[in-house]
Amino acid sequence: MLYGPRPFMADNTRTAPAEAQESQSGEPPDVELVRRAQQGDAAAFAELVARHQRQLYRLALRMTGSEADAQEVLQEAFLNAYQKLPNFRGEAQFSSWLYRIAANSALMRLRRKRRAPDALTDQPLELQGPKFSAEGYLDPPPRSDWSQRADEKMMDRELGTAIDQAVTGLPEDYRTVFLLKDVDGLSNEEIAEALDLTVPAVKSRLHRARLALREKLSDFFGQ
Amino acid sequence: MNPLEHCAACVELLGEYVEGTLPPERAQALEAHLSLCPPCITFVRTYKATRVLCRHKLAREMPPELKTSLHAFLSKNVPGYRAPDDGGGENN
Repeated sequence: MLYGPRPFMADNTRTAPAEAQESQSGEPPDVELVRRAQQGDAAAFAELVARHQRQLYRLALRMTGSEADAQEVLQEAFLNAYQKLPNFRGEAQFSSWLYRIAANSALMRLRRKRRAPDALTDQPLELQGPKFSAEGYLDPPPRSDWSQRADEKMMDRELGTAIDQAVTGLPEDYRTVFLLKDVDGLSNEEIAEALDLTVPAVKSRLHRARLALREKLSDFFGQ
Repeated sequence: MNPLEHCAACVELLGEYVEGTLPPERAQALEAHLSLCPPCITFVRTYKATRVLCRHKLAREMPPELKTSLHAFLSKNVPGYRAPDDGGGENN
């Protein structure tokens, strides 16, 4: 048997006391589920898995770039989380703790494949962004507001290709932050925790990635 | 509120502005600049549209077969684990 919390009860018996706080949706908060899981409640751990599996999958997919690797990372991360659950003291949010475990698993996998040894280090990078005159004005200024045409282009396959190419062309550590934040909806704090960055570093990379992508999309829309 | 003097300062603050995390006085200075600078209005709109388009095109859902394999794996390796009914309670 694997080490971890004491063996789970095989049914959905609730062990939570009445003082457990509930979230606005009526679902028990993570902290309550964690406490129950630490006491051996299998259903509580399964609920934590169900609650976080989608975001963890996105994190794993964005970091590894591979569906197969994401699957392996996901399994490893939840198993590690189960095994380490007795040591979780609640200093950080459970989700952040979980993201960190998954990110470490993804990084170890990448390093084994020698694909991203420097993925999350600070690198001096030149990303294309807007240009300014010596006085600080946009130069050249945007010629047209292509945001007006964005809706009608939403289903355009060429636009999809252009976006894929633009995002793929970003440096990896900028791309990962952008995808996790603007596509997958993780918070800056969650990303910082998972990728071992400061929140200001997350914000900076995110902004620079957006600026570079805006330039690429402006090219696509004919500016 | 004095507007930001230059477009460069405006662009620098856009990240926090579109997320609503810019301190109110900075946001007001940025908006004052926008009221005087049509190029920056266009820039802000296309900056926002970039996020929307990328989210629409790149969003990925967890494949159902991956959920199945994950729960099978955990059922095998975590004592007493049983997958809950799918769907409810997941974070987006």
